[in-house]
Parts: sequence; C-alpha cells; structure tokens
Amino acid sequence: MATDGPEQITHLLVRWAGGDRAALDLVTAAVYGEMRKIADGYLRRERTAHTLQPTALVNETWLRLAKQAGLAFESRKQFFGLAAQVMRRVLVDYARATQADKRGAGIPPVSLHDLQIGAACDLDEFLVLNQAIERLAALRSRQARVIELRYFGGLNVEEIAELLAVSPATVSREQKMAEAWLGKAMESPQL
Amino acid sequence: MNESWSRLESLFHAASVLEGEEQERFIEGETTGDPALRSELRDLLRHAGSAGKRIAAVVEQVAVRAAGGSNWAGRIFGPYRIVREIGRGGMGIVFEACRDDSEYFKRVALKVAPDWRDLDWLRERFRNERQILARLEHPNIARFLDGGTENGIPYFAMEFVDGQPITVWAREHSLGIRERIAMFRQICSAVSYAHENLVIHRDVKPGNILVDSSGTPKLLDFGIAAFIDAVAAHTANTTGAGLWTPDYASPEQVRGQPLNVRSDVYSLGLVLYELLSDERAQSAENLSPVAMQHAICETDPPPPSARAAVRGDRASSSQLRGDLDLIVATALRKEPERRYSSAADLDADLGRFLFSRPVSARPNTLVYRVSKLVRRNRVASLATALVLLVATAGIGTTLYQARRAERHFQEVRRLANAFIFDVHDRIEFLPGSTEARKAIISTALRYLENLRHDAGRDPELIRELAAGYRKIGDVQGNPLNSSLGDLHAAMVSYGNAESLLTPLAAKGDIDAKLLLAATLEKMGNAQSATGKTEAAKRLDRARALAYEVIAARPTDLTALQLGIDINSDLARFYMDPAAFDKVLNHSQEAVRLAGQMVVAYPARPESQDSLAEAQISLGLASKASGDFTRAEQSYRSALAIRQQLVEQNPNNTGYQRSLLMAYGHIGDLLGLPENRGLDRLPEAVEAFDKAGEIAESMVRLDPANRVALADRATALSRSATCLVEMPNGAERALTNLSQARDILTNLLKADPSNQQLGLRMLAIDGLSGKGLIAVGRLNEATSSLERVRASSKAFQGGSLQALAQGWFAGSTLRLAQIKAIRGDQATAVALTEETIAAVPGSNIPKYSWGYALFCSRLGSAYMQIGRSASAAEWFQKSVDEWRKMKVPAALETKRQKVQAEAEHDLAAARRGHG
Repeated sequence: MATDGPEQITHLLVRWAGGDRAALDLVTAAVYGEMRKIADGYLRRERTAHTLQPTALVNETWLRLAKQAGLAFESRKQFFGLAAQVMRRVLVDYARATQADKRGAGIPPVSLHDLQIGAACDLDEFLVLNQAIERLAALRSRQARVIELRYFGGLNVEEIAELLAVSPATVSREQKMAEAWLGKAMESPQL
Repeated sequence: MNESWSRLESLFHAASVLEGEEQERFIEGETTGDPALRSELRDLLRHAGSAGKRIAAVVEQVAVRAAGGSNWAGRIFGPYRIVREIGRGGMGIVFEACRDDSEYFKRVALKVAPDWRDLDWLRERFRNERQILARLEHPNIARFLDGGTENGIPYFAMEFVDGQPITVWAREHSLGIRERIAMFRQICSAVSYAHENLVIHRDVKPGNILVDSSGTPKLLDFGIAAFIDAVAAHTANTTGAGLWTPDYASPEQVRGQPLNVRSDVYSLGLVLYELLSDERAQSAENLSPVAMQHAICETDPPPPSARAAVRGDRASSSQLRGDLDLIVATALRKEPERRYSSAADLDADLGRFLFSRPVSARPNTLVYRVSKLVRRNRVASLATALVLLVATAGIGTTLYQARRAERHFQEVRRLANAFIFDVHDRIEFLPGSTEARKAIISTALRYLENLRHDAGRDPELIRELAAGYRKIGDVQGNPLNSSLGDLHAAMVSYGNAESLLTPLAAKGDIDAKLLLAATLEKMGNAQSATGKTEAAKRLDRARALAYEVIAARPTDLTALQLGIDINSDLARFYMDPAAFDKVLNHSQEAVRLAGQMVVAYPARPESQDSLAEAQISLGLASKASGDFTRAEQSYRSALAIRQQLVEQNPNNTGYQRSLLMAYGHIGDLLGLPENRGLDRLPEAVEAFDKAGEIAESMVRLDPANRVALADRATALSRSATCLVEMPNGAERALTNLSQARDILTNLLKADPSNQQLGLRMLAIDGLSGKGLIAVGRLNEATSSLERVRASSKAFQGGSLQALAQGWFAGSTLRLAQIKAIRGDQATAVALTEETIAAVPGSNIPKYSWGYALFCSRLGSAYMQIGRSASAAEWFQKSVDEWRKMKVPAALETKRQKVQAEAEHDLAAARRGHG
C-alpha cells in the first residue's frame, strides 16, 4: 500500500492539518498498522504494576513514526489527536474479532482448569462502552472526543484544551459530564 | 432531545458542586414535576465520581488482552508444561513451566511468542533473544536451557529464578548500603559481560534483576536486547523503540535515538539510585507523553543523599553524600558521552568506593572536553565512534595523569590494554572497521612510545609496556586479519617487547620471564612459516623460560597454559615422520602440564578443556607414529573429559563442538584401514553417529549455524564411508549420503565458490556410486560417478586438486567396472586407461593399504576386460605392497588375509595369461 511509506505519513499529516479530509483516511490506515504492530509487541512494564496503558502505547507509536518519518515536533499534537481515534479502533477491532473467535472456532486448546472466568465480561463491557461513546458522539460530539483523547490517547486536560482550542475549564466540564453519562450508559446499555 | 440534554447538563454541573442535603434540595427544587429528569440527574451524579476510573479500567483491560492475553495454563511446549504466567515482555509471555518427564522434574521459565501475532519482525526478535541468551553464560545471567517450536509457536526455556526484584529483596532483608553495592556490582559484571559479547540489554530495571533464595542476583529478559553491531548497522529500526519501560529508560531511548552501552549504564544508574535511596529516580507514571519526555530528558533527580535527608535518615544521608552521590550522578548524566563509558567502569568505581580509594567520577573537564571534540567529529559507525572516543580519552587521561599516582597508572594500563584491545577484537569482524582499527593501533603505539620514554627503571611499568607491545604485535600479525596482517610490523613490536623484557628476566623477574616466554612463543609461531631454525630456537627458549616460571609457581594458570601451548606448537612444528620422537615427547609434555593444571584447578572447566585438547594432540601424534593403542587411549580420555564438560556446561556450544570432534577422531581411528583406521567399522559408525547427533542438536538450537550444518554433513558421510563396506550397510549408507547431500546443497547455495564444500559434495557422489553398485542400482551409480568425473575438473590448479583427482580415479575405475559388466568392452578399456593416467597426480597414497587395494582393483578391472597380462602386472604390485607393509598389530590378521587374496588373484591372472 502506497500509504505505508514513512515520508508519505508526514506528507499526509501535513495535508490533513491543511484541511484535506481525504488524507485522514490514508494516514489513519498507516497509523493503524503501526499501532497494531506495537500493540502486538507491547507490554513491558514492571511485573506487578499495570501492564499496559493506552497512553504509553500511543506515545510509543508516536516515537516510532516520528523517527521513521522524521515527523516534526509540531505534528505531535495532531498525531496524538489522531492516534487516540486509531487506538480506539484497534481495540474495538480486537474485541470484536476475539468475540467472534469465541463463538466460532479458532480457540487454542486449553485445559479443563482454564475457565477464563471474567474474560468474556471484559470484552462485552468494552464494546458496550464503545457503543455508548458512539451514542454520546451523536449527542455531544466534543464530549465524545474529550473521552477519546483522555482515555485512548492519554492526553491531559491542558493538552486536550490546546488541541480542541477551548479552555481547560471547558474540557474539565465536558469530561465530567461525559464520564457520568457513560457510566450510566454502561450500567443500563441500550442494545 | 437536545434541549433537554442542555438542561440536564447545566443541572448536573450545578448539582455536582453541591453536597449531601444541599444537593438533594437542589435536585428536588429544580426537577419538580419531571420525575424522568430527576432520576436521570440522580443517576448521573451517582456515576460522576467513579465513572472515570471504570472507563479507564475497561479500556486498559482490553488493551492488555489485545497485547497478547489468553490463558495458557496447561499447554505443552516440547517437554514443558505451562504452570502459570509470571510476566509479559515486549517479545512474548514468560511462564513458569515444568518439565516432568519420567526422567526428572524441573522448573523452568518458559518464554513463548504468542500465536496471534503474525508479524515477522516479532519472530525475528524472538529468535534474536534466543540467540543472544544462548551465547551468554554468566553466573548472574539467567541461563538459557533449550528452545524449539510447538505448533508453529516458537518458545525457549530459561533457568527459573524464583526470586524478588533486587530493590524489594534489599529492602526486605534490610541490607546496608555496602551490601547493596556489593550485590549491585554483580549485576554490573553481568551487564559488562553482555557488552563484551556485543550485547546491549536495553531494559535494565529492578523487575529484570531477581535475587534468588541464595542471595544471588540474576539479570533476565533479553527480549529487546540487541547486538551492538546490529545497532550500529541499522540504527533506524533496532532501537527497540516503544518496548522499554519509561521509568527506567535513558534519555536517548525516550528520544528514539540510537542506543549504545552507555544507555545500559544509565539504566544501571537508575537501579543503583533506587537501591541507595529506596525511591525511583524518575517516574513516568501518570505523565502525559510530553511531560514524560521532559522528566526523563531534562530533569536531574535529587541526589540520593538528599532523598535520605528528606526522610530524616541522617546516617544514610551522610554515607551517601560525596562519592556515592557523584557515582550515581555520573551514571545518570543526560549526555551519554559524559557518563561512565562502560558498566565495567561503573563497577570499578563502586569497587574503589568500597575499598575507600578515590573514585574516578570527579568532574573531569579534560575528558569532557575531549569527548565533546570526538562527538563533533563523529565517525559514521557507532563502534568507530566508541573506539575513537575511548582511545582519545585514554590518551588525554594518559598524558595528563601518567606522572601521577599509581591508581592513574592502573587506569591507563586498563584503558590501553583491556579496553582498546578488547574493543579492537570486538569490532574486528565488523564490516568497515579497518580504518578504526588502524587508528587504534597507531594511537596505541604512540601512547606506548610516550610511556616508554618516561618508563625509567620501574619494572612494573616496563612489563606493562612490553605487554602492550606484545598485544599490538598480536593484532598486527594475526594472519586472519587480512586487511591489517603485517608480519614484519608484528615482529618489530614483539622485538620491542623482547628487548624490554630480556634484562628483567635475566635478573630473575618471574613476571618478566612469563611475559618474555609468551612473546617468544608468538615470535616463534610467526616465524615458523619463513625460517624454521630461528623459529625452533625461539620456541625452545620460550619453553625453557616457561618451565622456569612453572618451577617457581607450580599452580600459575597462565604459565601452565603457556607451557601447554608451547609444547603443542613444537609438536605441530616437528610433525614429520623423521621426528616422531620429538612430536611424541612434546605432546606428552603438554598432557603432563595440563594434568598439573587440573590438579591445581580441578573445578575450572578451562583446565579440563586444556587436558582434553592435549590428549587429542597426543592421540594424533601417537597415531602418526603408528602407536594406535596409545592413540585410542588418548582419544578415549579426551572423550571422557569432554563428555563431562558438556554435561556440566550444557549450553556451551564450544564444548559441544569439542565433544563432536573427539567422536570424529575416534571414528577415524576405528575406521577403514585405507584411511589409517583399525577396521572396527561398527564402532566407527557409532562414533560418527554420535558426532552427527551433537551437530544435529546444535543445528536445532540455531538453524543458521553453518559450522554445525557442515559438521553434520561430514559426520553423515564419514559414517557412510564405513557403512558402505559393511555387510548390509549400503542401504543405510545411501540414506546418510542423501541427507548429507541435502545439507551441502543448501550450504553451497549460500557459498557456491567454497571449494571445501565442493570437495565434500564430490566425495558424497563418489561414495554414493560405491553404495549404489553394492545394491545393484547401476544406472543411478553411473550418473553419480559421472558427476564426480565432471565436477572434479573444477578443482584443477587449486589446493584441493590432488584430493579431487583421487576421487576422479576411483570413480572412473568403478565406471569402467560397470561398463565391463554391461559388456561395453571398449568404454571399459578406455576408462581403465584413463584411471591409470590419473593416478600419478592423484592423492592415492603410495606404500599403503589404500594403494595396495587400488592396485588390486585395477587388476580386477583388467581381468574383467580380458587383459590378464596387465591384470597380473597390477596384482603383482598389490602383492608386493601387502608383503612389505607394516601395520598395527590389530590389523595384522586382516593384512594377511587380503595379501592371500591378492596372491590368489595374481596366480589366476598368470594362469589366464599362460
């Protein structure tokens, strides 16, 4: 695919920043590929501590792409905005694929002791959350975006504010409302 | 909807700043008459506090699973069964697993590359780690056991370290600062060892340093480690970006810049910091990416003593203040070039601290300036830059400090000898390093000249200088070193060492004698190609000196090893039928000294190895002199030692190959008489098969190991050489040969101009011809033999011509026999003539079993084509050979039997003639 080249990614990011929406799909595909690769090879935290934070994954994707593509520091913010979206897509794809896997064939042979308690709930809950975010996006797209940037991109309030060109106080308010709403939606999902 | 949402939103924000009854009153007041809105508002407020955490947890759980989580317990990988997961790395999941054959029970750490990953680069990395681990053997590095593939999933087993991270262990055992440093130094030595083996760990952190129940710290997880040369060559994609742990990452890691040994030094510094202060030096937790970069790349942590002071721990604070703060700060410099240049340097400084000597981690503006200079003139490859940096810095410190204290002298010595030359050796085979190596040599020579000027009469300095010259001579004279190899320059350097040492040695300085002996040994070997008499004189002098040292210090390992080497040199040197007594004498001396070494150091594998090596040399010498009984004894004792070495060091591939070679020697000794063997063919086959099995297991471990592949092919075809002569052995011989052919075909594909491999292929075709005739598959035999005839032409004019010619002659004769059987008289005659024409240039040995057999076969060939006069002529030659042949006692009966056969054939030919 032509979009794989690192130079291409820089170029696309520039086009995207300049308002070219078509470039977004292409650059997303490229970032998606990179992120998948990194997610695959991820997880190198202290054995006892949290093993993976999406934050770190996004950051590492940045480092990787930045190095390969020679991305300028200015592209960084745009990148994180994009990466949060892509991160979400990576995880949703994974969760769906795994669920399909569970229903169909393709499960690796496991012993009888291996009951995988709770494993199914994780994925379901995540997919419910994702659906809720989508519904939220229809109602208040900026709130959905804040959630995405915060939890899938790992940006803090100030960074989100800068990216969305609003005040940090606004971001805080949006986040709070969105969280409460999502919490409620996850409790009583509309399937 | 939108309107009600806005209303809900503003009520939510207004209510969320209120608490308790106040909030309740607000809700009731604002939602009177709208129970739906009221319940929704309450729900929202109820979730407001906890929803954020919950969302984060849900996302994170899926992320964790997406990165490789599925349950593995109970799954089988090779001989191992997974018990539980103990950790995850960028390159795979680590499990506790057990091996519970009927044989024994053993706990291991099993690393598996998860199967839902279909990415080549991951597999590549996984293989990389396996390879790196297999070549690292250090008491403080978790040992590699074995590896393989199960259902397409690669895995390998490592020593299971049941322990705690070093920081936790130190805390729970209330270790004092000095004890912590002593423990930490063991890890420095492990990291330094890895660096010496060209491996950068890149993920040194407490979680990867576990202390076992005996209190031994072990470094684990080389999952993102890399070879230094690979890093230098492909900085773009091997920095392991994104796989390290932010809390223990170096600034260059965070910036995605190329890493070198100093990145590990930084991470070691972080571990040391934590050990000394019980707090992390840097933390990336809860930091946004931008903030993380700032924290790691720009912020210096407070010195450990300050942290202790904050805790109110005055005693620790005063113990840490000064040298230890400084050592930590030096390891943690943000600019790599201002850090310790190696883990060994950090280790050494900590050692100095423990022994209350001045540490080197003082603000050293000179070194700083010099390294800045080097950085400005950065050379293309990292290795080169590293070398030049240290070489130049070495000179800087040298001139600056040489006239000062003893300690500086030691540093200079270490820099010059250990580092410069170590580095030279390490980069020797890196492409494009010739210029850097030249620079090292001329720099080092300049340095030695300067020091020599100031040396005075200090014997220690003189010895150091001489040792320096000797090492330079080694580099200059190394014949493998085609780009630098310069025998004359090497002799000049050795000569400098010799003239420095001779007066000291004459005064009875034992150390000088040892060095002089070592230098003379080098000179003798360097000269052996040109002037034999001079070389022999030097080696004899070296031997006399070495013996004087051994007499004074009977357990000096270096002296003993040197004595063994010199005797082996001399044995090799005299390897000539006229001087077998000398060869035997020197070989026996080597065995005697090696025995002395084993007595002095029974536990050292090196001494066992030397003894085995010496026994092999003695075996070769005994065999050459015709004493097959003693040869067998020597080989057998070498075999026993090497078996033991492999059992005790199962991962040392060097010992494995030595064992393989020992089996090979025994196989040769017991093999066909025409190859100077004892004709105990079944035993020979057994020995070759053992050799083949070892080679096969080495290939399993590392499928790219070309030496092991070639060894396997050799073992298979040697075994076939014997099998083909054994009753009912031809079928098995052919199976072996076809396996060997497959291996060689692949090896030749990668290296088509390799004549050694080509010759082995020739031999396989020749042997196959022989085997196919034995089982009556004459058509296939014909094409095999024709192949030998065609491909032997390629060896004309080369160093292997005579050997190829031997195969040509033998195969041509067999072809003649096939033609004769099939009634093609004319071709049979022509081929037989061709055989005879080929004999003079061939390697078919005169006056020997092989030659006698060959004469008989020619006689038979002539009989088949009805030329009994020529047949009688060749049978006569054969009979003459058998009659005058002296063979080992074990072969005498056989000799008599074949002689009788030849006499019978001769008589028949004469009757046919008469």
